Amino acid sequence: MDRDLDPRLEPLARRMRDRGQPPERDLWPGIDEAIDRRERAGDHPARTGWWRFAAAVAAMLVLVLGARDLHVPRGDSTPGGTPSPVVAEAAATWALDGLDEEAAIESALAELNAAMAADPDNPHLSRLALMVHRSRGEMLRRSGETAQRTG
Amino acid sequence: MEQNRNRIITFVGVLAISASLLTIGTPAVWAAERDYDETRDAKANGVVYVENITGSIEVQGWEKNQVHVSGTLGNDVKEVEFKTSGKKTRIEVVYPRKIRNIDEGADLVIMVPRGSRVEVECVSAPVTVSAVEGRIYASSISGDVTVEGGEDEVQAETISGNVEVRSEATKIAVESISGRVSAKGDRAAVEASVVNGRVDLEFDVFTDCSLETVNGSAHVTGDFTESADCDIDIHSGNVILTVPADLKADFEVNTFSGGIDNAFGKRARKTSKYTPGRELEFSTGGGGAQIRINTFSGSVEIRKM
Repeated sequence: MDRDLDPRLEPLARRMRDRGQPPERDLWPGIDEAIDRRERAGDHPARTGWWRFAAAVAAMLVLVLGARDLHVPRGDSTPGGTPSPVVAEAAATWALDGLDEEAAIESALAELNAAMAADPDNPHLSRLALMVHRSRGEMLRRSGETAQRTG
Repeated sequence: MEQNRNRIITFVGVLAISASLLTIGTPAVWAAERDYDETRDAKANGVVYVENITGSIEVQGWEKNQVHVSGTLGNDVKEVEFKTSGKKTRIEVVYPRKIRNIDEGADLVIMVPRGSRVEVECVSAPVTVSAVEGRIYASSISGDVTVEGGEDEVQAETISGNVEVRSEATKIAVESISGRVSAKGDRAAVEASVVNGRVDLEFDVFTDCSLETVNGSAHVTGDFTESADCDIDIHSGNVILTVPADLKADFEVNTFSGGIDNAFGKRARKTSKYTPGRELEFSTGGGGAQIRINTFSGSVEIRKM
């Protein structure tokens, strides 16, 4: 365990160390030492590029679809009542309450990005990342709808 | 002396009239809590829209071709707009536009023809819809949403609150940003989505199933048609899937960090010697439904009924 860590595994190992998820075998001293050595040296592994591309595409999809959702009137399916300042207040209250959910989503994306950097060929991680992006898009859609109701 | 007395009387009179006007202008006084009870004729298979900001809304189906609205209007309610036009009935609780806080909203029970399509939107109010056979859409921003009934399509969603659906509808969508979601039914294509909260789905047969949570466990119980597609994606949370022992399905299960327990026998294998993830692929009954379960941080347990 005195050799350098595989650069692709380093972000994952760092996450495991920081979040208290030790590996099943006793690899800890070697991993810890390797991470510290690399951090001291200021040498960060080059990340593979494909996941950044995938994340950019996913983010773009979220923005495009989110924008479309925000501007498509719901027509017959929405009663479309008179805007009220009270709705705005409720929306503001929700926005504050929603911080926890947004934090959960951001945390999930950070974890997934770290994992994807370590395991770039794992299609399941990409699927989960898209799912989390969708959740974020859904939150945006909901807040947009609430804003629409406030006029 | 007479002149002074007249001035005093005039002054007191003006004060009294001003006080009266101020009192009349205060909504809490001119709109005291009162009962509401109105009925309109409606189509047997019409559409009923309901909108309320705060209080509670309960919609029930009945045999009459009428919509009946009854309940209590709180101090802050201005009026109820209750209109019918052709197949559409619209019930909106109206509040004064310049009011800052609504403490007392409207608690309404709305009876609608059983075959109606119902759409309810509330802000801070629990919503309950029952005994309605048409399509149901029920939503609240902050409040629980409960639906019992619906034979066609049910969509129930809230931002902050629990969602509970018991329905024979063939298509069911349940969603909460923060809250617990549960749905029970017969045979349906089911979509469930939660950011923070647990999901419980229990159906006789799933024709399709899509379930997503960012933070929250999922319990899914039921049979699957051979052509069903089932995707369960969980970022952080455990999955318990309970299926019949004679299920015909192809399973693909993957965890990035979490174990897999399979009552059908085949054991999961580690995805990497460095990470605690597992993966498992197997078929039962010669294959059929496509069941994919994917977690980032959470275990998966597949049980037999």
